[in-house]
Amino acid sequence: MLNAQKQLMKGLLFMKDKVGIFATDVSDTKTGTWRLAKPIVNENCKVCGICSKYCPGLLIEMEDIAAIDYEYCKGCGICEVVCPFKAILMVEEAE
Amino acid sequence: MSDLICKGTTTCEGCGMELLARSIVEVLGKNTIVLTPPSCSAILTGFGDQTCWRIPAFQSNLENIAAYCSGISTALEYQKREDVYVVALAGDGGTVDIGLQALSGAVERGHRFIYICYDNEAYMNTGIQRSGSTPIGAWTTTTPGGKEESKKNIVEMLMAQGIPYIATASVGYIDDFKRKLDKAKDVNGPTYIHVLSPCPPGWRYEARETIKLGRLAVDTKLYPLFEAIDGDIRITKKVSKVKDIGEYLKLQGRFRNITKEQIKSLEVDAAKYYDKLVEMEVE
Amino acid sequence: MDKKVAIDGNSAIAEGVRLARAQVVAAYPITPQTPMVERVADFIDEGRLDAKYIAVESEHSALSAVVGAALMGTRTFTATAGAGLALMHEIVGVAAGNRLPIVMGIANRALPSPWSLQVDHSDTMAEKDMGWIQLYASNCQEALDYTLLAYRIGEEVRLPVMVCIDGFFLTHTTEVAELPDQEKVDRFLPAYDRGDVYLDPDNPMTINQLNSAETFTELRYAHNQALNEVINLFPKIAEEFKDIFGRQHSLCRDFECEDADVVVVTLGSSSGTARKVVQRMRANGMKAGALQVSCFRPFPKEDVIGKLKGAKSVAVIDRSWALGTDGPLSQEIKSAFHSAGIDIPIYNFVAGLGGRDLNEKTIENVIHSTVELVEKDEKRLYPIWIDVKKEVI
Repeated sequence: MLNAQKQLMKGLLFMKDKVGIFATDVSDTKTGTWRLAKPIVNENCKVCGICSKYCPGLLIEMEDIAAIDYEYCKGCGICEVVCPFKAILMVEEAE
Repeated sequence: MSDLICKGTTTCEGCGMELLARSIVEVLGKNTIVLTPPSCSAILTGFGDQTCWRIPAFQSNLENIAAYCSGISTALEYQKREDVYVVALAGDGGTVDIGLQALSGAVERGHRFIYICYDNEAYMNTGIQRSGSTPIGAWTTTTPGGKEESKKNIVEMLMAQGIPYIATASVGYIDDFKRKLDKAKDVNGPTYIHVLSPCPPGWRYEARETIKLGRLAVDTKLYPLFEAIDGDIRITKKVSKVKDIGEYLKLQGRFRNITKEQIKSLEVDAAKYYDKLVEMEVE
Repeated sequence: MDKKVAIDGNSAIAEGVRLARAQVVAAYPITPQTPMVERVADFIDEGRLDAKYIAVESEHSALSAVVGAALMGTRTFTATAGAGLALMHEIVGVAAGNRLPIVMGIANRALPSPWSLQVDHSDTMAEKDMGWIQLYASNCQEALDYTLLAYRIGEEVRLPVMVCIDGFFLTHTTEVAELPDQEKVDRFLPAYDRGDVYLDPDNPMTINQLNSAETFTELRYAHNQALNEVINLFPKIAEEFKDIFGRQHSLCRDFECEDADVVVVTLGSSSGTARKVVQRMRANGMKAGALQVSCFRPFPKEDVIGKLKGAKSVAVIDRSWALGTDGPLSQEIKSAFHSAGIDIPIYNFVAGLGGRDLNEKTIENVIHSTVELVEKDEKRLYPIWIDVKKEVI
């Protein structure tokens, strides 16, 4: 690369000394803060995995019961609707 | 789950496209190059130095995503790299309207790439404007009185071109989509999957209903699920007990002002098209 | 062994592409560019060029496809003309902004409307500020040599290059040119380096994403730095070129400029005509000179000023539309002189539009008019349409 450019690029962290428009920083947004209602898993859970397949963020892991990643869960409520066993209920978030 | 897309993305809550994108990387794995046009899928491609993808990604223009795919696919061929998938993840406007020419050209030339259209039936990223894929009777910001014309059938257009693999899918039946993508990935040529992807803000419904609507569209015959391998059609979700279209429409605010005649035409066209598919189906 | 061949401009660029070992080519046919890409297709078919040819469905897709191929780390080529280039416009910016060293052959053709099949530079002038390097050849040898220089320079600064030849006057005119030996070209042009930004699952990155006001200016600034670097780089690489091939090329080519009363400045094929006119006028005692601007972007201000400053007056011929103001070449030269604080009379002439022959007579008229204007100390704020039919004036 040309010297003048190299110097310039150093000032631009996002370019990382490279020529072009690109990004390599994979970054999460903590979308859990968006949530107005929170899905709560109850004892009806059969660990069938349907909710985990349809969660748009794929944020539900099948452990002893369905385990929801609340750090990212936006609270859309799809899991409640797709659960055949009424094992997930949306509960309004407290203040 | 696959970690090829980061966890927290800024797609709307209940976004059908987000589920679709995650399902795509789950099936195809890390040796995938993904392209997104300016549309909701570009949210995943990110902003500034941030991206949601852990696979190579390129932000295309709206009308030429298939042309970029042509070049990428041809370069892969030149480099003798057969282990890399090239995927376009475009919305309905970027596909059936402005992207049609590039898509048709790329399919005709036979490049190996997978084109996935997430059909949310309007230009949602710019704020719910009518596209060729908007159904009759649907409100959008540019059809304030409801769209008067029927939805464009891009799948039939591409089938007429003799595409080696094509399928419809719905985020409501995600396993069906994944099976189809799994077939598409091994085809040595162009493949196309048209995926109905309900959009809560655009269709005016509660975010929780995305999957329910994705299923109802299929179960009412409005949106039949099928695939065609070298033109041989197979319906992948038989609808024996047809659900009432009214049930599908009343969940969505966009159909608030749909007329009785329009509902009738939706019903008649859906039944007719489904019957046609049954007739064409290969035993 | 180099060999002398009879070759037209389209084939000259095609030979350059073959010698440069382009790997992916995408193009759409348009007059008068078509034979250029036909020739490339032949080379691939005959096995003389190991490349893939994508016969796309539009020029817009042609440039898009080579952008895709360049992102994969392959050396690419496309070509177009006139309205085809206009259709590409959006992707012209994408190619440059992503810093992809694509080479594009241009058979200059007037933009519509009215429709014309023939040359003027309105097509490439409409793209002049999109961040590409633009080279204008005056003959078939230059067309070939500039193609090789385009790959070498473009890949060094990571910018795309347009190699422009006048429609029909160069594309379809056969001249004698030297076809260099492959071994020499390989010495001049190293194997393609994919650079820092590419699509590869082994090193995933997201390319061409949305940017904010926080970074946009800096990216554009870096782009501009790279483009301007060509001014320094061109003479160095031209020196290497001369050592290997024995031919001298420069950012602008001067002919009898030093003590000239009038220097006529041109782009493209009329530059050869201008040199011939100057030669004859000199023989008749008239102190004329000619300057061909070979590299229009970046504009070599210092070189142009250096070669023109000894002249008493300058006549700039724009073979492109000067609608509502000066032609683009004249704007550049006037701006350069003004910035440098040098005050010599510069007149702008528009000629040769839509394929009208920019012949010796026209160039003589330009020179005589300039002498007359200088003698009368007449200022002209707007260009003179020198070859317009008298009955419309």
